[in-house]
Amino acid sequence: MINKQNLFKIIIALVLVLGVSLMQHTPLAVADVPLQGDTSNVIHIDVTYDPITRTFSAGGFTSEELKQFGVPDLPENIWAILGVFDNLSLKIIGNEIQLLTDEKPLFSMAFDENARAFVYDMVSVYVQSGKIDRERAEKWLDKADFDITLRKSKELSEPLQIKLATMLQVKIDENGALSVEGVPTGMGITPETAALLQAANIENAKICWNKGVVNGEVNGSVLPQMTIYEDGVIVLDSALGLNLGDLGPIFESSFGAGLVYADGAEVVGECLP
Amino acid sequence: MSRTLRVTLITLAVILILYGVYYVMGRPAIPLPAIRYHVPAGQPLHNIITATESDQIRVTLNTKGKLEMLSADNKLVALDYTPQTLANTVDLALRLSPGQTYSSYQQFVERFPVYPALANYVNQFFYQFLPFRISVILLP
Repeated sequence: MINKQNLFKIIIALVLVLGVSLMQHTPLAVADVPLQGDTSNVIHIDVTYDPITRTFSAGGFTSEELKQFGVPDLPENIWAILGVFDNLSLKIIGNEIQLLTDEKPLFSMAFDENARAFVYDMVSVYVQSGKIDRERAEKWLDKADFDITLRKSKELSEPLQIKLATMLQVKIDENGALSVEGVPTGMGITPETAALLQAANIENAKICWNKGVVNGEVNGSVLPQMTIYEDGVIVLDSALGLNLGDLGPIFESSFGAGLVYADGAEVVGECLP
Repeated sequence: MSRTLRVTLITLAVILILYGVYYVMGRPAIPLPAIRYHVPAGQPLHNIITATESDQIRVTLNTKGKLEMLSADNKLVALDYTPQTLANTVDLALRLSPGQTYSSYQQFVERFPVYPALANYVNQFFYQFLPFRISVILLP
């Protein structure tokens, strides 16, 4: 009897010790990735050109790859201008535009609110699709760090750098027509897809790409995080004969889009790396 | 005290002790035997498998919230989920499924209203308390 009592005492003691241990044990938690302070929209495009062979490379893509993407050949008058310079660089950093040639400043211009308003008016006159959305344009330019460099060289251009904190606003109207930042693209979704979106009551979606990591939300509901590895895309490319070319620049880029269908609410927030 | 009650109490205590040790160890996923599956030629998946260097793709589900697709040592795709994001995905997949799938599911839920809560419980159980890891090896 005494043995049984001792056994129960031991069991109760063990249960109590483990219970306390479980309660004291720090629960595992996934720490949020701290947001980076730099939330600018960075676009760095390096272009190399050879006026003799009339070939050019941009963003790390060869002339042949650019042709595959549908990039047209440059007209003769552009080649004539390019032939004059060895190096041409256009920078939009914050409230300033700089044009440098052969590493010497050609001109710089304040790109403040008044100057931007003038540019919007000019663009609105020439853009047939209607007036430019100033609020959206300001959102983009407010954090702009754009840099286009043209170099007279036969070597391959440096890989494209795109790190966009601001999301591209993509809208699909009731008829399935697709526009990006208010500019019609001439593309659209099929009536079957539109009917499917309507039946599924899908109003909006947010997709963020950050160097292969894809985060998504549909109607505000968060979806699992997907990580796409370059090796995986290479396998798919090889298996399905997609001819995707050099994927390096894409896997070094960060960008995102907010998709709105019909009268759905606009997607707010940013895609932060 | 009856013998049955004593055995039950001791069994419970042993289970609790074992789970306690398992919990303190960080609840590693329990590995289950891998399943080998030969994908017949002519299917798109067959072409994907043969496009890899190792001629095989391993799909691993860790119910602690990770689904991975690997070829030899190379990671191809990974999916990190929580019970909530998984439930959101299933809901979206049902909504986007063709035909009458979603309405059939809704009818099923009307008949068995306990089903969503049960599915959520199972999902939470294997995510929070007893995660396991299972692999499917896809071969040509």
